Amino acid sequence: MKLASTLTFAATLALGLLNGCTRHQPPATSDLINTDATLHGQLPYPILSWTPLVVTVDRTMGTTSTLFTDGTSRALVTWSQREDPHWFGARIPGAPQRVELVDPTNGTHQYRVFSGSPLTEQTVSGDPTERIVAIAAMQQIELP
Amino acid sequence: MKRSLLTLALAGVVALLAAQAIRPSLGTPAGPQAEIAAPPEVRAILERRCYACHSDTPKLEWYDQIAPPYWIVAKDVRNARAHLNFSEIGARPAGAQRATLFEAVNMIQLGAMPLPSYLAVHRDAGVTPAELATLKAYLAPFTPSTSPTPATPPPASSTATERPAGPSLNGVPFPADYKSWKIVSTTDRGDNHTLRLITGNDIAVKAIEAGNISPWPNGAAIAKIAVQAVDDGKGHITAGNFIQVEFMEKDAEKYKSTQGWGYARFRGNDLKPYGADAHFDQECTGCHAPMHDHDYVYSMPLPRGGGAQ
Ligand code: HEC
Repeated sequence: MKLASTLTFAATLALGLLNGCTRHQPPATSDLINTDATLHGQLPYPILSWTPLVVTVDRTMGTTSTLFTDGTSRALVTWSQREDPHWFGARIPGAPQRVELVDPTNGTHQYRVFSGSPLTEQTVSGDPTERIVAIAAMQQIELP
Repeated sequence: MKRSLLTLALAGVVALLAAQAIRPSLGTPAGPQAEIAAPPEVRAILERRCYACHSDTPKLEWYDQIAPPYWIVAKDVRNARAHLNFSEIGARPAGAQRATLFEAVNMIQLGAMPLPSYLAVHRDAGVTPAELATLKAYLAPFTPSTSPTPATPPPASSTATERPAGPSLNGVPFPADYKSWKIVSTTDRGDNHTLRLITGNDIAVKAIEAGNISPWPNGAAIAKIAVQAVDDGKGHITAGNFIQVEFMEKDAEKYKSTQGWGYARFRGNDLKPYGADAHFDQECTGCHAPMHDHDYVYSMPLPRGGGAQ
């Protein structure tokens, strides 16, 4: 039995080496970091360094949003979804669609929106109240 | 000179013949037979490609019957059935069977199954793209739901505990400060109707900024927070109850035996440590093994630094 396991080990090793030669290409950067989802552009705050509060998905639009806060303001970042190349059954953020900022202390600039590629500030047309209310109403994940 | 060569060859033949007598068993079925619940076209693919190892009816080619190759195959079959047996899994809940099929498809897609060492010898035993497409079409993770997710009451112990009921059974510490970690990514899991927020500690975030995650530096830790995905029936999906938080803590030395990572999972609002014993993490390493080129991490972090936010 000892002989058997030694030989098994040797044979497995040999096969492993054989395989090893054809494999082992280092993965491309775009397969290590989700470069598709980069927030290119001029945002006034380092939103990804704020505290993430909650995630939502809109199946119809094919988007996923994450809500962040720095304690005072809230930022809702919305990405198009892409299939997760590493897991069938999962979707992850793809190209950014829009960043909405709600700052209740900022007088007339309570609501700002950035979109396009690179993300650029848009003039807010119409009444943003609905968006402000919707973003303020988002519940954060209740973490134990 | 010629004679000693002849003796050597003869000794080789004798050893090979003797080796045939050593026949480790393929293992015996562990439980009652209950084939996986799946439509015939899906079953047919599993039977063709996976049952050779993962079933109560292992199938060996004639050349697999000869030792020493037989020893390798026997070991693979024993090992494979211990992990997953499609002939017995039918006894488990439908959700668990479905989760196994997702894992199966992902192992195939990542080139981990059937075993590469097996495919090196059995050249035509691999899953074809058409077969993979059939499996995926059956699982259809993002089929739109037309009715709202039934409301689930908040968990019984709704008072947040702040601290797990105990340490992870493998000794990986619970990072008390995880609520202040920064975003790494998010996932929308159609396979199990959850949303996930993946976060990292300072070392992890700095490593992403520096593009230094292949491998990740010691001290980096990643959290995966899973919540129920609540669908309003119109395609709006929001976060429901907290399900679990999982951690990977990097230490190439300390966690050498588990891919250089300490794995931990805490479930429910009382953060109950997962698993039956200290070896629960074999489940983690098994599933993460195909990602060895990515330092065993599935998540692709959102870019930071280098002009990005
Ligand atoms: C040559 C034998 C062999 C074949 C054929 C094979 N597997 Fe495996 N499989 C194994 C072994 C051995 C393991 C245990 C993993 C380990 O020890 O690394 C395993 C593990 C797995 C696991 C992980 C189970 C767990 O819970 O840890 C999955 C999923 C899996 N196989 C799916 C498949 C699928 C799907 C097929 C067919 C397409 C397949 N395998 C074909 C040998 C095989």
